[in-house]
Amino acid sequence: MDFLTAAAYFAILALALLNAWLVHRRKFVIRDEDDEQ
Amino acid sequence: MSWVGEHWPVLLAIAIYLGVCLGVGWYFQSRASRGVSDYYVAKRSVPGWVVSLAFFSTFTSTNTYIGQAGEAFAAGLSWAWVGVFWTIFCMVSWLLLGPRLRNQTAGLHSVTVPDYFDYRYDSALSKPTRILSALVILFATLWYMAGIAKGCAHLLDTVLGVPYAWGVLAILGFTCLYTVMGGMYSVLWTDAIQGIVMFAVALLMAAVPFLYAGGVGELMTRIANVDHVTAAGAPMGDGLVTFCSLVSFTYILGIGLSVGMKQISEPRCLVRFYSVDNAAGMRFAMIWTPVFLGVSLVCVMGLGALVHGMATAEEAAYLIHHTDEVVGFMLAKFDNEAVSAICITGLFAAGMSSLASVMLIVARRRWATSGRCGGR
Repeated sequence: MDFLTAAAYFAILALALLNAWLVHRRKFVIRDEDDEQ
Repeated sequence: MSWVGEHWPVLLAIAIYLGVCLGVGWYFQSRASRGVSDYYVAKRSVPGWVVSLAFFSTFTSTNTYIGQAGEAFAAGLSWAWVGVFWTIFCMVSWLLLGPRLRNQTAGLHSVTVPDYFDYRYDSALSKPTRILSALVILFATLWYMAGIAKGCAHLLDTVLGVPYAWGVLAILGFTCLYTVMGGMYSVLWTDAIQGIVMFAVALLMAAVPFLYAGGVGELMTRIANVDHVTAAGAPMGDGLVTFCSLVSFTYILGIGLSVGMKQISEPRCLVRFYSVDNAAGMRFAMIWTPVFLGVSLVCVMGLGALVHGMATAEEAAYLIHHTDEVVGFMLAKFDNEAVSAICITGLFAAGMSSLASVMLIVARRRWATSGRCGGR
């Protein structure tokens, strides 16, 4: 398998890891229907 | 041998699966009937891991597990690049839309995508926008629903010999039953169960060609240089393992973008965000949904190329023109009743998970065009 073909499989897994890191360092709150806007 | 005797492993697996789906619908029946918010958005109280698996199983369907997996038979291992774009859109969807849509729809008491447009952009044009979006969604999802029912019925016909019309009736009937009984509670929880099954089946399907060939090295050697031909009749040679030798990157980009962006635009995906219970649940779903999707795509998107290692030149010459039959061929060639039963149940689940979501979306259109939610 050449480099660019193999890169697709590693890229998918790398993106999932990158996403986990991005979410991990982010802060957010979830509001309920009765909360003040 | 009788029909039941011949097909009992598949029948048993499907019966267990349908029993669980109907059980979930029955369990949530009373909770779903408490009000509109309960029925359509499960009171915004569903755990993040359930929503995450539901999003994954709703986006991926039999099209991914049969169509895209089979497409790699003609396109080679490079077809996985489509999965890269899908994973990017999954990230974008959860990172940019997830928390925002969850908070805004809760604040606006919105339960559908059209009524979100109406409440969010409160203006003279918001009502026509709401009706137009409802009509667009209704038009698009009905075709999609018909397509999935057709695919599942063909699967039943091929595997069990169930007549096509009866297959369509049974699939629509069962899905309708548990969707009507439990509303969004039922759809999300059954989707989550279907997501677990589909994730396991993706791993199992990817293992089949390697087990058949006798190892990773053996299979990769077989497909590295094959004596099979392309659809045009040209020799494949090392095309299966060479970047974009059998398919153009423009085509990969087209499929990657057009299908991937469903995750940021299709109501059946977007309404998943409405039901997440809290910040911890949202964080879990944001992290794990791209993982569930990504790992499944790694397993499935190159599968067809691996099946070349199981096929003779004559079989490959037929399959190259019938790529939708590649997964069925792989299971038949592997010839293991248990593996076939599990995989067919997973494929069935892949179709039904999308079908149930689409049914609820179609039902919402009646609600969306009928007026404002009383809660606001």
